[in-house]
Amino acid sequence: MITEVLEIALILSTVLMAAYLVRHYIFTLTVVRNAKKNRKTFAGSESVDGSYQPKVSVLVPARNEERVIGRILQRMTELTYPKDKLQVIVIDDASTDKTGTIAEQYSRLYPYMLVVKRDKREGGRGKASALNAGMKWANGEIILCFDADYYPQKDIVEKLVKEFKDPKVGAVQGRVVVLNEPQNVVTRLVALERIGGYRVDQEARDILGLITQFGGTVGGFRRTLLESLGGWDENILAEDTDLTFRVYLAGYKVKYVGDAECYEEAVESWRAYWKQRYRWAKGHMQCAFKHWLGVLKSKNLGFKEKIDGLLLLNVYFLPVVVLFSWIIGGALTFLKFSQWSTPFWATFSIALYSSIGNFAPFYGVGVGAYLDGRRRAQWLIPLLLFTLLFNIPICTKALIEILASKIMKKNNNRWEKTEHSGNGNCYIIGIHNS
Amino acid sequence: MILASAVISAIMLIFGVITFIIVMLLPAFIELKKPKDAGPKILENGEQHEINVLVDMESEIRFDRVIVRKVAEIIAFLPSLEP
Repeated sequence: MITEVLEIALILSTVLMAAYLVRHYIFTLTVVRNAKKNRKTFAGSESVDGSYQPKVSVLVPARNEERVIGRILQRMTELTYPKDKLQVIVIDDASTDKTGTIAEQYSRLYPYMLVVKRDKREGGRGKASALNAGMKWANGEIILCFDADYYPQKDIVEKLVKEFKDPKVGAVQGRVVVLNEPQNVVTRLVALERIGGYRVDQEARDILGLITQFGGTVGGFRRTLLESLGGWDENILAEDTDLTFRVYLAGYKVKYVGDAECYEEAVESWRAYWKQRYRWAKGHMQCAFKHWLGVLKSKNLGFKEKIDGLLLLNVYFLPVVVLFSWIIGGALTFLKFSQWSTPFWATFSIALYSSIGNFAPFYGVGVGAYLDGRRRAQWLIPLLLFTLLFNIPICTKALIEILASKIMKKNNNRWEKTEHSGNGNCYIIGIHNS
Repeated sequence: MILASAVISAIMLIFGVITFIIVMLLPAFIELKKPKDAGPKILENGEQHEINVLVDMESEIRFDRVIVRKVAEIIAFLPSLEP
């Protein structure tokens, strides 16, 4: 009886892993086909339409970001978007360093900049809480968000905002490029993950009309929609994924703008990587529990959007499924070793994901790097195996904690802020962080 | 005899695994040791390349090619000065 149950569980986990690897291949091949088409039609030279220029509010939440805040605020002054239609709001989220002082210096010099100060009582409760506080001061028709460690293109606002001409577009998402990539092996691997995530996954989702994800930064919303949705959910750690699904469930879509690019400072150590991914995993799982039924029942989503939505919601469960299949596979091998079929099934799921399954995301990353014109970044792809293995304990811990909080009915959310060293500054010529 | 073949198999297996790992990870280690990748993607700041500009560039290149071909033809008639 136990072995039959284990066998069924193993088959189900194999089917689930196979679904994700098929998804990876579809995404990668879609992007390759689109790149070929673009090369033929010379679609890369699309100009930015300057006739549509609504009032835009840019929110920059910052907590102890003295090493990087000057960089983004300096960049805000260099944006090509008309300054009379721009409002930059820095939310100083109870910082204990010079973040507030630097932001205030800028706000004194540039009248379109505003600093929202939060004291110890209000602040430090996470990004969603800071963004909601900033939104109260925003007067733009469009709300854009940038993290403090980001460094956008000068014309990024035009590129993002132009998509809102389509009334169905409720949110936009630009592309994130790692700035401090040459720093060490962690930053280089994060850069590869970003290439796969944006150059391939996001772009393919946009082309195929699936669930394009708002990534929490380098993007924004139609203000009326954001207000009607009640702003950012402060009880969810992945407030960006949560909003993505709320936008889609409300009948709008998120548009990915691949040529709206912005640099980010990637995490520089495995410890920081763990903390960041743990927050993402837990937040994503919270979203999965919150939205899976809504996605299934939604009348605003088509069949393929529902499938993609469910795969996206459950993506952080996959490393747990891999671990699960390894354990069951190993157990079945010993329990029913005499029968040929069981060892076959036991090893099949492991072999499938470890070979073709693992290759699928690597293939996606490699294609993304190639399309970006990278020369040797692809050589590091085999090392992504370690990040994949690293995600197994991260996601397992996140799941255990979520299940424990559900059983004990206690929300133990804790926002682990990613530290930014400002090391990315050396890669930007002519920028001096004051 | 059996023990010897088992030892040989184990050595072969270990050797095979190590070789596989080295072959798989060698390019990554080379790139980490001596990076030759250009680093992060350079963001374009609103530089709009118009098609007609690119056409002009192409015509210039074609013009250069014509000159190079003529120079090559002239040079072909010259006697070789090399011993």
